[in-house]
Amino acid sequence: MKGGGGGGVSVPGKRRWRGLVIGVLFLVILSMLVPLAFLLGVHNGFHSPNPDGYVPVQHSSVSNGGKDRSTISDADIDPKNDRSHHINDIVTKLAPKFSKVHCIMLLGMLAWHCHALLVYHGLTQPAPWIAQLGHKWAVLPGFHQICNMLGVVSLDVLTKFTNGTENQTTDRNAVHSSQHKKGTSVEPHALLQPPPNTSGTNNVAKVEGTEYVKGGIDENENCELKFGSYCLWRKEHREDMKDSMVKKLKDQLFVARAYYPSIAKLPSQSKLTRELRQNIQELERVLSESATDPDLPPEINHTWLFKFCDCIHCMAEWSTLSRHIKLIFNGMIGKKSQKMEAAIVKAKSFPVDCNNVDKKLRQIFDLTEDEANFHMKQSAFLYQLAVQTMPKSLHCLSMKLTVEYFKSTALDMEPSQANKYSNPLLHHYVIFSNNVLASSVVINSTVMHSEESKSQVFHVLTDEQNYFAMKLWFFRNSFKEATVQVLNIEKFSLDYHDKATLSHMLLPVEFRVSFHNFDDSSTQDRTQYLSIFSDVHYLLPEIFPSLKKVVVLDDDIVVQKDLSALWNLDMGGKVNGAVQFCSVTLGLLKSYMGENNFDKKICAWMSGLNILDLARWRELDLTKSYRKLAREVSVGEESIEAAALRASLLTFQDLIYALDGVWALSGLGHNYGLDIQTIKKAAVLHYNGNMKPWLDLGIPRYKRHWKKFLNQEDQFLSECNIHP
Amino acid sequence: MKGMESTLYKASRVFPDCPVMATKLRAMAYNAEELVRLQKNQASYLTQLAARTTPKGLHCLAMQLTAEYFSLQPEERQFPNQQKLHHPNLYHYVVFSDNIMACAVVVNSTVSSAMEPAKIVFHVVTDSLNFPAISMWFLFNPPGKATIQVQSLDNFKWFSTKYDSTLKKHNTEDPRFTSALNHLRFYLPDVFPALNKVVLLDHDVVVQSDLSGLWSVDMKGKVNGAVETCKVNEASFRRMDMFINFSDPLVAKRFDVNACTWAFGMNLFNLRQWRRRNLTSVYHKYLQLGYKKPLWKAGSLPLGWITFYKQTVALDRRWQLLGLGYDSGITRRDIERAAVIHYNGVMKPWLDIGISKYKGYWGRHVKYDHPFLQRCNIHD
Repeated sequence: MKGGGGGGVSVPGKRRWRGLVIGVLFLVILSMLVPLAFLLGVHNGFHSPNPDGYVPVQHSSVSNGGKDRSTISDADIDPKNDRSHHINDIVTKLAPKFSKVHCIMLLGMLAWHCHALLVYHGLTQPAPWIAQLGHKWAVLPGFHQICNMLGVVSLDVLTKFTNGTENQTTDRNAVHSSQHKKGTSVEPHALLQPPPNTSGTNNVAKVEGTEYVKGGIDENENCELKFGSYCLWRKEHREDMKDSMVKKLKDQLFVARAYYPSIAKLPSQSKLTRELRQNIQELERVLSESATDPDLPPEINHTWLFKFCDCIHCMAEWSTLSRHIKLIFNGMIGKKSQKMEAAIVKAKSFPVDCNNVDKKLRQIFDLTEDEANFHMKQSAFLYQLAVQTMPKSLHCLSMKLTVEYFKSTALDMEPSQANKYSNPLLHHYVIFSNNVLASSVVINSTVMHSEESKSQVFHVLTDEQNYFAMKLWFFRNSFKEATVQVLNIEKFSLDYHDKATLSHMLLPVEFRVSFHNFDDSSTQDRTQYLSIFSDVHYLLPEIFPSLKKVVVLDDDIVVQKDLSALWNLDMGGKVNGAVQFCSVTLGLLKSYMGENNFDKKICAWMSGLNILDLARWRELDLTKSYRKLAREVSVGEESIEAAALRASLLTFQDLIYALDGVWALSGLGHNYGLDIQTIKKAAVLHYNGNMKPWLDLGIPRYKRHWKKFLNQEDQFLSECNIHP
Repeated sequence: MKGMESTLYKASRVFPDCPVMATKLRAMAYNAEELVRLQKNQASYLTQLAARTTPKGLHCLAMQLTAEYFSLQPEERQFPNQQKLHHPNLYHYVVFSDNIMACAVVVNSTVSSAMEPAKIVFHVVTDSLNFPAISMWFLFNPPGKATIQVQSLDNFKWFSTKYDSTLKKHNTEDPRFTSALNHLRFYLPDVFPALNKVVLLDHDVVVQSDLSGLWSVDMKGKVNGAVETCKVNEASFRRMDMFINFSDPLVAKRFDVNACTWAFGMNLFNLRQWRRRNLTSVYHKYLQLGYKKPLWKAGSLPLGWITFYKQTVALDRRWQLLGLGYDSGITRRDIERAAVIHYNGVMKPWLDIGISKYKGYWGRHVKYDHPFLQRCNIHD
């Protein structure tokens, strides 16, 4: 391809001319075709057997303005190829509108594709479909060459420069200077149309300035719900972006690029064109010089980041992350910025073809938005993954405890006060959990705030897989004078159910419901996480036959007050003391409730902190009614969780004793907007939601209320690198 | 997208005030761009996070096998054919791993593609945490006619004294780099005092053809046989100064920045030469040096490059294909003709983030119908 271009431009004296030739050379045809081919899904047909065939045509279209356009289709594309023919038609149709401005415009698009190509090639950890996308672009003929010409270094060359941080700047300079030596004056054109990674607020758009920010915030709120603590991390990085200098600079570049094509079209303004071009180049260079990013994870930093940062366009984008940028910019940019500003002011004073500016911006916007959506999807996938998998450190802890348990079988792990387990005069707490750390925090926080830990008995109910680890953990750790018993629920439940159906509902689950909130005028769907009783909860009267009352705690809570008052409540014949959740009524949940009769106004309640009157429970034989409801013909394709939610809500619909709201505050696992004072006042904090405090994704602001009840000195914790 | 396009178009017709329109669009483009940037950062953050987690299925498997192992009588915990372990004329393969499934795939794929499995001896070394589970797995699933040995790192008394003393002092955050299992490779002559030659396989490889040809490779008196990674225009390309700090005069004096680099994954080690040249103490010297000032990046690779500097012989490239854990552009043909494929990178085939089109090459060596895997919900 290059050879072809060189054919027309080898005379040294015609440098500027050469720029035009090369520019138009690929622009007119390739630029035109690539996006079109893309749109029409015919990029395979783009494989011309003789790429050099483009050259003469391109040449003529430049020199003769519009006269030769009709020849484009005949000369360069093999008419035998149906697909090419199709493109021919399109080209011919569009030809009359084609001008140099369009060329440059389309070159912009191409540059963007180039940039995308590099990004996707360099990206070492994409989801598979990113990569496929990347490869589709890679096969487009001539793409590498175009990239070369644009001053975007091709992949092959790039790899040479993927060195350490220290060498980065010099390497990049080397690339630039080598291009200058070759005399490819097409570079300026390329620089005019980089991808949409520049902008900001400045004098030109003061009003809109506030608007961007607003848009950002809206997005933010949405993100918080979806992406957890990442948002906070993100905000920190956002600060960098707000650096006024960087913004101003980027905005200037943006404006300049928008004006450039139109100004360049005016033959009388060649001087201004040059001025603009030089300024753009200069700023591009400055932006690109500061692109090291110490904040990124090392792996990324040294594999693909550098690779694609050699691509000047990406430079500007990544550099905004960098802290270095402030230092560099503040020091050296002042002057350049002023020059640029002057050039823009001049440019603005000429009448320009509005349509072109508008069109170009539109394209930039479209492409950028597309890319954003794509990354959005990727993030959503990864977020789900982070929620559903287990941190390596927790895996380690469970394994260590299990191995240790078996190695120390000689020890008698039954404590001496086993008789306390069934003493109905004591305060019995039941915790369902498969998480050593979580249940430990629940017990520790309860004990720390109780006046009399001696009378407290904790029953940790876990599954077989975690039983041994739990057993050892609670043998090793003591909690003031409280007693802890670890029970394997699979031992109990086997008698009642077959294992297959049960395994899913051994431990309490969280049920995520989305619904329209009618009280609120907002039309947004709201999501709530309702934690519900598992099947095993309904075995409690049988597991603890001698007990009359128990308090059931979920493992994602932290206790902040003395709970003993719960034991003196007169529940007036009700069975289940729970904090009601009146923003969710049964009426709102009607899609989950099936055809049963129920009072729509009844508030939903949650598991988390519940006081159960087991004596009354047995009297009413609620277990039986629950089982009957749970077995009921399910509504369509509903999950077992949905069936359990319905059965639980219906079983207790008239038997809930509403605890005062201050007893429990929920939402610490999904709601970013909770008030610190409210958190401090609540007796129990409930981390319902995806962002559990023991996960990396936990909401940092709420994490510490949980963390402080963890004995971080523990040898096992430090050996497994657990620093929540 | 299209809707937006047409709306904008209409808008530009109706609203000919160009500068206002342009700034408006600019604002939108700015927003979209900002979004792209954030989303990208977010995606990379989350990918890092995902790489630090254990799939619940794998966790469950490990827990179950551990409990199962301890329910065995001590005499039931023995592997057969242990007399073969120190026989120097057999093919000895070494795997250091803490991952049951990965380990199982390496062993299974090697044995199933071998012509003479009876001549193969596997030495799996793991940590005390995973020792019961991995042992249990191979007691359940013996590797055909091949012999297997499972050892725990903690039984190497010499190792803890030699290594920990230097390492413990320099606790870095990332367990990947401090993992003793990862550095045990530099003590191979101590781990296997009776052997003269071993092949070290990383646990993220799959063996696809008979490897016996490796044992007759002429090593030209060198210690390490490895696949090179110094071809500039390949994705696997690495240069010495990508991991090693050549601005330090000490480094610059001793090493050539243009020396060819090589990869772990599948390495042939001549332990006799290794002992003769006392390379473990060379490694030790450099390890200590690296603690004093930042000479190289963490991880075993840069240390490997300098430890085996001038002691490495190139293996034919078809022996090992790199990059299946990060490069999604590898062709099927290349994969299928490689003797060993290496999933280096964060996208391991056992993770959900693994590159799906490569998962099959790994997955076909996993016994998905095994009751333990089914109970733990591990599916294809």
